[in-house]
Amino acid sequence: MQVNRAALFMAINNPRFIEAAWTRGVDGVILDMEDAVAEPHKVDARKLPTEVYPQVSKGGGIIQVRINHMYWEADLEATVWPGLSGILYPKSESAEEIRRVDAKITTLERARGMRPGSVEIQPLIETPRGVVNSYEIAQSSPRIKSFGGGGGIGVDVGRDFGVEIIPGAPQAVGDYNAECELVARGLEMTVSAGAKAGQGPGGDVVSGNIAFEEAEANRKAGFFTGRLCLHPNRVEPMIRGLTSPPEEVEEAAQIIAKFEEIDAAGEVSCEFRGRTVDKWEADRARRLLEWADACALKDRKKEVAMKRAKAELGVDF
Amino acid sequence: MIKEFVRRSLLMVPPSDRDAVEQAWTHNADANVFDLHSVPYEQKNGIRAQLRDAIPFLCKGASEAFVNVSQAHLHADIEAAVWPGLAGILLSYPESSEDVSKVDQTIGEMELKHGVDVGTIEVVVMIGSMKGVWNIPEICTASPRVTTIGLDDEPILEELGVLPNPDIDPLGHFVRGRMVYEAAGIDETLHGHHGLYRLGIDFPLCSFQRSSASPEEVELAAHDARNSAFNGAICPSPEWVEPCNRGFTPTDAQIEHHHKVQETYAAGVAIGRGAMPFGDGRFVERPYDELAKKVITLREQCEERDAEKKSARS
Repeated sequence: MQVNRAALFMAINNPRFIEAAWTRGVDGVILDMEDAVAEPHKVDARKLPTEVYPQVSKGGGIIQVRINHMYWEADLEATVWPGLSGILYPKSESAEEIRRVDAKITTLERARGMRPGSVEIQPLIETPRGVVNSYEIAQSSPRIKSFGGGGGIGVDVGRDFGVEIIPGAPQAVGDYNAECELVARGLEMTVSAGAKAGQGPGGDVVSGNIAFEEAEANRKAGFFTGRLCLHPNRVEPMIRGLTSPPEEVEEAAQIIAKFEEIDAAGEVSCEFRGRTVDKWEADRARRLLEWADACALKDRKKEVAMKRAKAELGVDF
Repeated sequence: MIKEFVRRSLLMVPPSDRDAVEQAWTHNADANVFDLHSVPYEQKNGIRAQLRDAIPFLCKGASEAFVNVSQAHLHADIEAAVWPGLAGILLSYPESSEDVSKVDQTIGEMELKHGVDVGTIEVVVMIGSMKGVWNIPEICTASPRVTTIGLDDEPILEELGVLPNPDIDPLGHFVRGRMVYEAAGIDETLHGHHGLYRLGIDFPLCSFQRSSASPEEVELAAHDARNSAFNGAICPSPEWVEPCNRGFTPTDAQIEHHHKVQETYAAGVAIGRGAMPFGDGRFVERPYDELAKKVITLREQCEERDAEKKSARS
């Protein structure tokens, strides 16, 4: 189970952000080559990945790159190098284009000595046509491990409709993330953006309190998936909100034990601390324990990586 | 070739009321719809005979003329409607691509027969059943004449046997959401809009409180509908026209906001940045700039449409 509770998003050509990325305690970084890189700088940005990857991953975070839909081929040539965990493919609209991206990555993995199939594809659904075709897109490549909407509040979709997406407002156009989640769940994939997530990059992107509230709501709803952070302020609260606290872990262990006890006695359900415990509740508790273990492992890896990086650089903070 | 359009208000005109037909243009609707579908069967022939003469009244003052036809009387209705001056046909409650294909074919025959430029008559599909909702993709793509899709809530609510209330609008998310996504996902981009033009308005005005709605309520509903990706609405009475024209036009405040977005983004690009802070912890990036351009363009198109009508009426 991959843990990526908070991925810090930054333009690949912003040295200030790149240099500080490893110190932020992130689970991952998303290096943007799309909207955060102005058009005249796109070509130069393609020269940066091999130099940037070792810098941003020093703290143990994984690396994803958001490429440009329009320049997908040139961007893949520039980004598929050892160290890359996955690419975000914006404005995905059909299975066919994902298959093209998959084939190109396969060629590059072979040529560059990378483990075949190691680079994931996360299609971003950000246009009406992408929403309509979401089921076929989600099934279009074995590299797709998680699926959701666009990760934000739908600014791109709003642009196509010619309307501003207003977080929390009852807009028929604002619910497409929920449809993408249904697709992900129907195909038993990880949901890459939770329905409870409210403010994304389109709203307040700085507030740590809002980030914590979103993350906690996601965790309580059973969405063990993080979101991108446009500002470092959001990283720690997002990780805290998505990590199951000890009391929840303890309760999950008790629920499993209780279910195993009644199951052995031939019963299907019982009451435990005012709630019903049955097979489904036990399954939910097992998922929670699995998630908690994966988070603990991720935190341990980050701690080790951070310690090594600090020692190598002779810094402390 | 179908020309570009802005149609914020489509006024339903009762064909049996001669004054209403002759005065329809004075209400300033972007389009007037001769509602042949609502005429009782025994009166249809008489009304059809008047249709050709009614078209010049419907499109007077630069309004556009449409006729709402019945699927049960398709050939006779379309034969009576397709004459020079007509912009399009409203097709009530199609449920499949075959329903649309039949209309397309009949219109084509009548364009030739009545001296109308071939391929210029549009089709507006009005969805009025759950089967129609389910088949929106095939309905939308059945003919290049289909430029617009609309929703008639009442027959769908009747079919479902439910009434909406302020807390639950059963058509809100699934039906309207499905409609706008499918229609906007159509490959072709028409009239500066993404996909098909979309007609609709939200609860409560979509169903049972039409006659009692104040102009302010209608304008607010139209404004909300625009935020839900609708471009215009069917107006059941002349009182709806001006509030719909206003509600579906981007406001001064919105235009001011989007100009500020454009300026902020341009300032970022000038210093090599793709994302710029915009206050309240927000950032603007290229999609925001593109949305701003779209909204400002729509406002300009609406103003041009208003000027065109004003000039034709002076």
